[in-house]
Amino acid sequence: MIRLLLQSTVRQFQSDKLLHLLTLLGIALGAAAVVGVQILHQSAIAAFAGSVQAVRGNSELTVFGSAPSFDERVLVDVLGTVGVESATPRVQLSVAVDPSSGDGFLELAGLDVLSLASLPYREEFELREALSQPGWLALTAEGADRLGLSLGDRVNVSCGSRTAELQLSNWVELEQLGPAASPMRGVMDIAALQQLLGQIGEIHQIDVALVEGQEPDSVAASLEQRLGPAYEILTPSQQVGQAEQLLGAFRLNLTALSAVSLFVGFFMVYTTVQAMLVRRRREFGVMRCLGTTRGQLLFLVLGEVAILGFAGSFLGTLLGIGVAQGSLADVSATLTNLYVLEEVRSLALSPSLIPLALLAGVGGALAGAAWPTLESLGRPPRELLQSQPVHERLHRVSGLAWWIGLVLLGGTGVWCLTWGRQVRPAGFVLGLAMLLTIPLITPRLLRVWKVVPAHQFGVLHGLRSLASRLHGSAFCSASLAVSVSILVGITMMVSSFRSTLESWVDSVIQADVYVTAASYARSRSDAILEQSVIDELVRHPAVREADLLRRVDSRIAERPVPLIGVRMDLPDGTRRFPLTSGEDPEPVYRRLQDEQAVLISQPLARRLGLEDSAEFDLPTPEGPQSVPIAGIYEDYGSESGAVAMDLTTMEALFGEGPLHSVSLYLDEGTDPEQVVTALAARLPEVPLEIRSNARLRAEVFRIFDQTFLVTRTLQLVTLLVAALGVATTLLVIAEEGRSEVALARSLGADRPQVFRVFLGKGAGIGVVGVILGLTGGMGLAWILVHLINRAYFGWSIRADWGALFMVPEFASIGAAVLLASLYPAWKASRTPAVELKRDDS
Amino acid sequence: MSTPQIVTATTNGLGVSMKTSNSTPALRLDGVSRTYDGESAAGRAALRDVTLAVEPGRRVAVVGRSGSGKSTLLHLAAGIDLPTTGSVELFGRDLSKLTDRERTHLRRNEIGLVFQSFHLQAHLSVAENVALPDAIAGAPRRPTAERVRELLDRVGLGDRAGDVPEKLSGGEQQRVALCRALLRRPRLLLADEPTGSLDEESGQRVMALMLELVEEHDSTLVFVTHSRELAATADQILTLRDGRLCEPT
Amino acid sequence: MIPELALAAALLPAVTQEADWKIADPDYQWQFPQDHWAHSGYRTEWWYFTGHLESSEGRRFGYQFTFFKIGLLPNRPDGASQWNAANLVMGHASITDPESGQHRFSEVVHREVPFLAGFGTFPDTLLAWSQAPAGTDGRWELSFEESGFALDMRDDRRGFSLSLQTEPDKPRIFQGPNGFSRKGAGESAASQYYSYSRLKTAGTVTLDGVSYSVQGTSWMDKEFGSDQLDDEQVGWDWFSLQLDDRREVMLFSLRDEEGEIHSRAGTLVAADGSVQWFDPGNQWLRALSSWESEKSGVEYPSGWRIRLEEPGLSLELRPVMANQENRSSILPDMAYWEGAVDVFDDAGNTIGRGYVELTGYGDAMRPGI
Repeated sequence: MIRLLLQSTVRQFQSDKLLHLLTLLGIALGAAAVVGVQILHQSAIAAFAGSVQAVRGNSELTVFGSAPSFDERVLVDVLGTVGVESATPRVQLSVAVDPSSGDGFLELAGLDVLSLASLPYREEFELREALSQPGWLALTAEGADRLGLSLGDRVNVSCGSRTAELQLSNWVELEQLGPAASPMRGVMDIAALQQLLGQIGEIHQIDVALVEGQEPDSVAASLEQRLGPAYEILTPSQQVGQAEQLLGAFRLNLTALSAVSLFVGFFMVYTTVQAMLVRRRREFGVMRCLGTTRGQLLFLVLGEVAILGFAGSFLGTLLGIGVAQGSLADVSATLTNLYVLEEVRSLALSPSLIPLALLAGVGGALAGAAWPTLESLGRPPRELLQSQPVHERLHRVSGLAWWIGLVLLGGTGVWCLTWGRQVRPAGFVLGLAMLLTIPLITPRLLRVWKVVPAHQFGVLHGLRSLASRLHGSAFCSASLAVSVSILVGITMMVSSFRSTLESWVDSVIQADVYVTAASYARSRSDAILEQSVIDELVRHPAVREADLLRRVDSRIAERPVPLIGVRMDLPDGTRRFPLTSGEDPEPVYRRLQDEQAVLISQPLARRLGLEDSAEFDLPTPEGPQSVPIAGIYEDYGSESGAVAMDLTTMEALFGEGPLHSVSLYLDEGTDPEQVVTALAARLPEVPLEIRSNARLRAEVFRIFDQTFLVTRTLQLVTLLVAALGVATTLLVIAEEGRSEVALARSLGADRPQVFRVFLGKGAGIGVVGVILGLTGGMGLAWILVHLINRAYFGWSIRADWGALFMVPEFASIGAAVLLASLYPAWKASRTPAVELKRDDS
Repeated sequence: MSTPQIVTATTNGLGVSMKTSNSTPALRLDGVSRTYDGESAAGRAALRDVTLAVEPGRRVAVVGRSGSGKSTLLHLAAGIDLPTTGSVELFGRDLSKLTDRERTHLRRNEIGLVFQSFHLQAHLSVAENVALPDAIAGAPRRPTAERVRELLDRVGLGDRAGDVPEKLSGGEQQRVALCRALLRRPRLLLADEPTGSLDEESGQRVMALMLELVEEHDSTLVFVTHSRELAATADQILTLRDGRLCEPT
Repeated sequence: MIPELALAAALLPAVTQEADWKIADPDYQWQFPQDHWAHSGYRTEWWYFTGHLESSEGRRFGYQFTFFKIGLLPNRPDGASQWNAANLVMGHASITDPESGQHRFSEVVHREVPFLAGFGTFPDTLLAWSQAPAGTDGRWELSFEESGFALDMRDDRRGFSLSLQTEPDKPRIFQGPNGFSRKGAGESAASQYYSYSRLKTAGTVTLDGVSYSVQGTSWMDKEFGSDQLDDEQVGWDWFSLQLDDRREVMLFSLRDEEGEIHSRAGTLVAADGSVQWFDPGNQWLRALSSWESEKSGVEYPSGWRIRLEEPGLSLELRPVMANQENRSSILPDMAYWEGAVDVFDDAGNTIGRGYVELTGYGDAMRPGI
């Protein structure tokens, strides 16, 4: 039987190479999308886990503050806790490398003696040297290479407005400890790092090793109790879990997209198998008559499909790795920009990809083949022997399917807007219902082509013929519609998001010049601007007004939330935090100054359910403190939420602290770019990022566009699969309709006419697919914007329906369908009229 | 085109058609053989050295057993297949010397085809099926519609114009196919077992109708049949045996 | 004399060319009580207590308590960070309980950071302190008041604590002329070294939550210097013996890799407190058997016969327990034997008690002093 299977597979493949190749490619692309997304996600998590791993030694718990750094004396309490074997403090800073020594950031860990001494170094480690030599630094060999540093070379780095000259004094082989971690990483003495670039008396984490046999959970509980709510105690897997949670929405987005590619691939398999079954009907009938059991035939057919699926999985895995490799840089940039996570340097390929690829490829192919195979082989042998093509059962059920689809969609929609409101994934349920409805209503919709007059044998005739031959075209149209829906839905979501962001940026980015430290993008609240620097900036004669920003990075409900302190008394400053309520901002801003009230961002309000609350508990160094909420503001900066308050409020809650950013308002008529240049010249030694209003905007949108680049890649894959689907279907139709073509040819139709008929079929499939896809896409966009984004990101996006008229998107779909029709049409037109007699014999 | 006065079909020297005419034969085969590849090492000959001529207006029956080459003869006549050797002339034009496009147009304008299994398009209505050749030819819509109605009325199916073929009986379907074949007033009607799928009564009825219509359209008819009885209605009977033309019975 | 300082070689490889460190000086100007406090600029310094205690119920304990100052840098680096430190503070404590057959060891190592560990300055009473080992609240402390030294340590995880007050029973003595104790041929191979050979000791010992009120006798060594070992020296055997006739003996010899004695010294303290320094010669010590630690795999000599020509002593030492090994869990490869012994005469009569320290046995165990 196996031999028969292999022979038959080879024969089938040879009998129609192109069709099988297309299907193979479809499966492969679907699997590639799934595998690629999974690889990217795994790589991001592995990079983060690697960074957790790299310097932690044998610690099983890590103590974090609710703010990134905390008082180093907490170490004493940690040491005094039962079950602790050792506790090692760590200063952890992202520092900006001076452009003269190469661009980018370094993750520097400041460690105490024993931790420092226990790391693997390439050269002999001299503790005294490490402690006494100013700026002693050990980098990974790869990191040093990237910065072009040799042993003994010096490198200037900055954190905030402070700079330090470090000296590469050894290579530390951190990659042994966390292979997936970014190589842009180094270690130095805790004292040196703290005083050169960090804050005196502040550390970022304490790594805790446990006495053998101690349960991490119980020690964590004792630590929590002892240290109080301002501290968080996490196991490495919890740290990774937090990162995973942080990336959850990002991952969901990509996974959903990749599933769609698979879905479309599944339709292709369906179509191909259907065609194969039609062609081999008789063969199967004869085999049944000769005593082959139904099970054996099933094995034969599904075995062939499984082999195809297997090949698709293999190819898909390779493609997926390629896709992931190609998008790695963008994904890495997105993760560092949006989530302030580690750079993702390399792909993490784990054995778990194999079952995933097989599930996607083989599973998808078998699922696609199952129904037509069971349906066809379930028939009695006598029926199989008859030459009639598969009866158009679909005709009869198309009406029923239409109603099932509408009821499914309507029902889910009603559920979503009523009881489903509380369910977070309700949007996804509705989206799924929508995508399921599309194939259900397609057959009925294709029947609209019945109204096309057939008095001309050409494109119109092709259109018309679709109405009566639903079984191939309906699935093809449906899969096209599904991919177009996704394409349209996501395009509209992204462009709605972008246009919302545009108007938000217009409102929020008001100042003429923005100044932060060069390291601010990564080290955030560690990137402190010294007062002398601020004074110098503000002293510029063209500066009319200056807003000061202090940032405290906090964690609220297990996610990072920046707390922003600014001058709420700034004249005309109320647009910086646009209120969602639309009320008069003046009294709200008064409360911010007079009552120590705060503004919370919309995502935070949604996440914590604070829409109607008058106050909430803000974590402070003294524990949670209840603060009045003056209002909710629109914010697209942090999906975990943010809190804004007056600088004086922040001082009252968090004590005095350094500033992180200055926004300068210039005198009327001053050229901001000139001021930018002048400021940079005033402070040549200070590593500052001085941006004009226009440049900051451009930066915002650059990051935005980069974020959605992977999304677009996946969209493209989906579209490609859909186009392959159209080609496959038309090839099948051409194959099945040989006698029809032969008739037309014998009635005097020439080749160009046949060609046009098939183009018409392609167009018919395409038009229905696109129109249905457009409708579905609009629905999907609505779901994405109003349900999913709100539930998962807490962002309000104003739908931008104008995006519907984006020419390139539709032109690309049209072009894809047209291209996909060309070859099958050409092939059909080559059908000789003499084919007709086969039908007669 | 100069036309020979004497048209005599001979196979191995046997005279078949003796009627003389000053017009060009509607169909003329000269030493035609058709061999299909692949059936054996030497190839299998479906037709061997067939020479014949059919004068315009004649009604010719082709009889023979299964596999005797009847359908091949018809395909060659329709120009949807080409001879391996010899020449096929349709109204004086050598099909082998025409391009595919020219052959197609010749078929479109000069030939009507009727098949054993009707070959009606399931997705088209009766009227649309009949109109298909005009659709293919790109003929104007209105005259076609009139012509279709006229033909359907003529075959007694005027009231079924809007139906789908599925709803019609076999005899009715073949009558529709007949209308389709005659729509463009072909000078030559080729019918391949036109009654083969029908019961005797409707078969006879279709045959009678076909003869009448050929008469009315002043067409030439070549039809393939098993039935001696039907063959007897022809002016002339050609018998094929193993691809060779036999003496008239 | 040489309480061992077995700081793992891995952590602090000996640096021979370290001009900045102060080295032991034969003409050192002693000044008491200030010299009880820490001396900056030396690479190593220690306060070393060993002793024999007895509870009111008659239960016998041996103990050791030591603070080490391990110089990372001769001077504290400039800078505002508290983590800038010249020294590490290391504390070792052990208790030997012959009744249960248990020997327990506890340790702390911290950088000299104001909130973790440090050294006091005259005239504060605190000499040295450190946070207790991880898992235990509180501090270890060693202080000096007019009446004597007081020491406090606790380790909840290992289940013991010491809280002892000492009072000199006999006066302080110098080990070597002017407290200059030569260890080898090299210029720096010496230490400033003085002892209290007999300290009356009283206080509390806690073992697994049970407190014992104890009394007994301790020996205290104080030593500081830099780079005290010659290159080829790998370890030492050190003995402090308190004889029932109120005499005390200190003996040490330094070994090279082949076990050859490289350098040695002896001090005899008479009952009246007068001191005699002598060279015990190369043949004074003979191990009677050996004991191999299962945990570290190191084989130590166990039980000794000592013959001293010059003061005319013939002694046999027997460990009160074979296993009195101190193994560090913080510093890899650091293990030494520090144990209570009984002293017998040739007739087999008990004539005193003592403490023995064995370092540099086993691979990579060379102390980094």
